Amino acid sequence: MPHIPFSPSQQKCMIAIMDRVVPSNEFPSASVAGVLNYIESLLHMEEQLRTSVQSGLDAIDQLTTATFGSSFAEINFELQDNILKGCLDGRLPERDGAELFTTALREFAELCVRLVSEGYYADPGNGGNRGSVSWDMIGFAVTDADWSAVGGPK
Amino acid sequence: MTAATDYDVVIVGAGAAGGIVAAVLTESGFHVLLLERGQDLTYEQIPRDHLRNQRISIYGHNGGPDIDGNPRVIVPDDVKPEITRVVRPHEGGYQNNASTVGGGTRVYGAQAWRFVEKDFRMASTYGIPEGSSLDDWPISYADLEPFYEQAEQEIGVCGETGGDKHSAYRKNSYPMPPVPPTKRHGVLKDGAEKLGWNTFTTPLLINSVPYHGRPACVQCQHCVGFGCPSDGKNGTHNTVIPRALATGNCDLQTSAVCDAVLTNASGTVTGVSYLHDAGNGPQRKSASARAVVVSSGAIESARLLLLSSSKCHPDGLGNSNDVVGRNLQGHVYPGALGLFEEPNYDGIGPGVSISTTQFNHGNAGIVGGGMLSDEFIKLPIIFWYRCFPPEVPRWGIEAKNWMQYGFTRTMHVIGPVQDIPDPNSRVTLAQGTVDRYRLPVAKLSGTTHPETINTAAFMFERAKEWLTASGAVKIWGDPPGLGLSAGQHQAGTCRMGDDPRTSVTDSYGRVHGHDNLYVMDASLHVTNGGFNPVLTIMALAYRNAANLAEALS
Ligand SMILES: Cc1cc2nc3c(=O)[nH]c(=O)nc-3n(C[C@H](O)[C@H](O)[C@H](O)COP(=O)(O)OP(=O)(O)OC[C@H]3O[C@@H](n4cnc5c(N)ncnc54)[C@H](O)[C@@H]3O)c2cc1C
Repeated sequence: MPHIPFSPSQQKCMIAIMDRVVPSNEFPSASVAGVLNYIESLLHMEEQLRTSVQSGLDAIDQLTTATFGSSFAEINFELQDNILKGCLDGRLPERDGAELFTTALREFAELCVRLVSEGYYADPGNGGNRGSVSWDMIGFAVTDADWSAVGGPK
Repeated sequence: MTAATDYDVVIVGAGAAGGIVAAVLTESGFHVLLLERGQDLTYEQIPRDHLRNQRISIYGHNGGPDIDGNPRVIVPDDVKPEITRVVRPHEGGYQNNASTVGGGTRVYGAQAWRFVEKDFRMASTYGIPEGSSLDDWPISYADLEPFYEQAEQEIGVCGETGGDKHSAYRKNSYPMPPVPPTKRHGVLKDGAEKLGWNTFTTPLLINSVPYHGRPACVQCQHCVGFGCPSDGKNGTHNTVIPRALATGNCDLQTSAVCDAVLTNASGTVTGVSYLHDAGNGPQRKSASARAVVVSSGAIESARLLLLSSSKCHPDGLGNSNDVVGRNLQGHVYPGALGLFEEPNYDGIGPGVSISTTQFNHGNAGIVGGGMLSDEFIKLPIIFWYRCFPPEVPRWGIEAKNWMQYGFTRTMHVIGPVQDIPDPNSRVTLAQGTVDRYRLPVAKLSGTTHPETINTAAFMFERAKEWLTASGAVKIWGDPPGLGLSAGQHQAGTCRMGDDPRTSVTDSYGRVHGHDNLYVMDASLHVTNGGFNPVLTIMALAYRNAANLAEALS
């Protein structure tokens, strides 16, 4: 599948975000399940989304650099969660009296939640959900029939 | 065939109704051209893509129509009708149905419902709510009963004969036994028994056992919205259309978009013109016929009649009283979700397994009602999109935990309610928006009647009641709001009737004022029942095609 190339910093930021949207527990996090692959191949096909995601990633990094002096990928999980939650809820800390929250940030965060979840829970054919790992987690098993024995597929 | 015309009959659309009409006519010896704008898709050509199918179509869909070159215009707001939106087939508001040989039946969920007597007599049973166009059908359940049976036998239905205590009289049993009950069936059956509600196994156009030379269902998890891997789901593509072709009397032309029903100088229908694209660009073709049957689905059939204007028919065919395209309806679908302590998902497809018709009629203060069933197996991503309790965050560890815990423990009880038709919910031709062949596209406007929402709110409560009685520990969902209702159950745009001022066709689908122009598909439905509509569409097609065969002899 052809992919869009993220810049190295965009890619780091994307991976950090996706692993907060679907963090690891006894089942893998989004990045381990291949969600980056899903997003990169989707953005290759969906030009409009591509621009939104790329500029959103840059904006998130700018925000964390301005607030904490580090890119999103470099701050700890708790701070990452606070930033994402702040974007989604419209409540980011002010800085020097300046409002940091924008609706563009909220839309970007919502988009990330959606894209990452699609990658994690949709069929592996879309590039994420490697080895159907999320389906194993939730208990969705696909009938593995010998179609030829029953005459299909037609 | 008479020497004077290319064909006895041209049928426009090889869907649920069109396929049946083709079989009935060709097996009676008539020479038929069956036009289908889609292709004859194989199983492999209807991918199991969880983001692009007829159930959830975020970036595209399977089963057609092509997402480029087939827009529609929608009027999203009834209060400000000047605001319109152009949408592509996989986008919200389009009201898509599949576009392929078999039409909707190629990918449907295959619930196989007969309407009940009162569904044909809605106006006399309930009176006519203000502002609605509620009416009786010009035929009764008894007129359709033999043809329901024919559809059940020939297309193939499995079901629990005698299980539904509120169903209308049926002469014979279902040809196949019901599918085996799922675990959820058991849980909901116990709940319904506590409430004193009658339940039974949902009738399906699916082979519970091998039937008519094709295998049984393999109980997979990708039924609704996809093709069938074992070919055990019965549509017109694997039953009547192959039969029609086997007669040698049927020419099936796929990738053929009919753009007009042709009339001569005196206004008589003479045939059709169509654009055929075999992969090297569209070729304009025409075919003359003794009769034309429009079976393009409720939205496109209305559009085709409106597109076929001429000097004699300036407002389109059959439209001298401005009825074509009106009364667009479908089904509003109230449903509730319930969380149970124990897992109840067993993965046995298609998933829908138990139904009640306790509330289709006889509800105090309600015009009609609806059927309730459990839901088809949900794709995990659909569960993510539509099945989060309102307080659970959609990201982070809580979201992941919910997916892991909730998927096997959440049940969805849902069903179609009888739409109360509104004449202002309608299909017209869009001004200035055209399809790939530069033809004005369908514009959809209006909403369903408020009585429909009243019924939906009532049924939402029944869904919750059922889940509670079945042991759900948490229940959520939203009753539907007012909006245009059409979708995959679209119907009503060329309703049958005896009065040409309020209907488009007579009781056999013959367009008023024409001897040889017919509509045969969901467009004919005067009302759409509180049930999934396809078995009624099929039964009507059998009846009306038999009548046409007689008229042609
Ligand atoms: C995912 C899904 C699930 C469903 N589940 C159920 C269910 O469980 N139970 C139930 O009762 N119903 C179900 N339905 C609905 C059912 O499939 C429809 O009600 C039924 O197919 C409508 O029949 P019809 O003959 O009116 O039109 P269709 O079956 O839609 O056929 C119309 C055909 O005409 C073709 N056409 C349109 N315009 C032109 C033109 N200008 N030239 C040439 N061809 C044209 C279309 O491509 C199409 O193939 C489902 C539908 C879908 C998509």
